[in-house]
Amino acid sequence: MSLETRDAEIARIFARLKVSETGYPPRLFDARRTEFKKRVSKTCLELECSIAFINLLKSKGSDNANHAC
Amino acid sequence: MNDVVSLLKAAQKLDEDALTAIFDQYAPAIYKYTLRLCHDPIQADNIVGDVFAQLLEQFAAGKGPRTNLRSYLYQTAYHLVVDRSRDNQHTAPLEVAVDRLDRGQLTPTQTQIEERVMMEALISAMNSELTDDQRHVIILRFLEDFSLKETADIVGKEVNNIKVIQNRGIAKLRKALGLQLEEM
Repeated sequence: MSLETRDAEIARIFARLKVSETGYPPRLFDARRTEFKKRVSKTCLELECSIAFINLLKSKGSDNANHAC
Repeated sequence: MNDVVSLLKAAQKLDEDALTAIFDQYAPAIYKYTLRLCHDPIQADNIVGDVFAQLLEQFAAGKGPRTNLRSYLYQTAYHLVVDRSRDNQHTAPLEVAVDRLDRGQLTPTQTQIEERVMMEALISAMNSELTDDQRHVIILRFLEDFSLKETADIVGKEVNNIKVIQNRGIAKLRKALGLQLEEM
């Protein structure tokens, strides 16, 4: 068998492999998706809290500064 | 393409819909890729979780990919698989694919039987004959359709090095397939 034929055979097998492989089992995918969405919400909440806290500190800082004046 | 760019921009700002859309778009492919490498559905699923957790952490820290999100996700998955395979050596990858081929057909034709034998030979060669580097490169190039440059970025090597690894891997697969054909 020539090199070209053998390479064509390899390419054909790869193409078959691509379509025949197992996909993400739906239950696993759904569970992982839900977990990721929760993680996103938690991260967003934490960031919002941090920003609010920093703003609070800043405003307290400027209040104190105003008092000093 | 613009959709991916705008999705990425929104995700960088921690837009929840954009992040979920990225998960929906890429998680199945990352799972398949990881399963090809680690051969364990549970580990593949865990790695998907870790890949997206890392992406989120990066975005939250104001870092993360600015372009080519797909390569970035595969790169993260690749490193996680490599790190874990050092602790946990598994063998037996794409065999599941072969089992699925004849499903639904009670009596396979001669051509199908021959094709199955060839596929098993190729898969066996990928597992036993190729080095880890060769297997990673062949999977990224021929099953995931990444370019030489993208593959080089993912595995952290030079393009010329990838070409050499790929050619050596293909040569081994050719040889394995040739031997199989001689037996048939």
